[in-house]
Amino acid sequence: MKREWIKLGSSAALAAVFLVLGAFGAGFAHRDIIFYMGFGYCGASAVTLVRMLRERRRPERYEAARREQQIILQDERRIMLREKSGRAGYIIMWYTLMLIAIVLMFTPAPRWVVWCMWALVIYQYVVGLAAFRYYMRRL
Amino acid sequence: MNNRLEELRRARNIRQEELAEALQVTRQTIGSLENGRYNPSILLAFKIARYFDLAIEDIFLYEEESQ
Repeated sequence: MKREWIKLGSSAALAAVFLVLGAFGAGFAHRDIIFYMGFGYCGASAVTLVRMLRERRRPERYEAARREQQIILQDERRIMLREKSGRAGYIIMWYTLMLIAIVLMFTPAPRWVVWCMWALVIYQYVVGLAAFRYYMRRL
Repeated sequence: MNNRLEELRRARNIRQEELAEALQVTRQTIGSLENGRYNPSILLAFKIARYFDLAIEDIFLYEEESQ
């Protein structure tokens, strides 16, 4: 329950910050997006609050769901599947970013956008390599 | 790698859900193990062996040719 309170508190705080910045932050170029993000966090807070109220009404059901979640989190097959899907996501994203960067070079897109895309491709590759080296030393 | 998990479970009249709960894994993992789609870690293999009170080699059958 304590974790739920932390979750609720942090999403409510973020909602408040984004809503205030979106509404009154005159210096921001994309105030509207900041404001919508605040709405998004409001929704997340509301969902957490509703779930907490339901759990309080049926504690035995909450306890069973919590136990199930615990098992799902530590189930080794699911851990393996999460790692596998993360790897697949990494490869797909790498090729997607590279494709977008190549396509953008043949369009009248601003120069900084093309450079940013290539920087992202390189950054993703370097981060992957750094993570690999880190695990090589640890395992 | 083949295993006798399903055979042992049925012989002892245990449901997949019960075995999953005892081993702290999901029921789907037990299903995948029984179908041979997933090979367990050494830790889970030990847990399974202890649960059935057998040695790992009595449950999991390693076949050289399949490698």
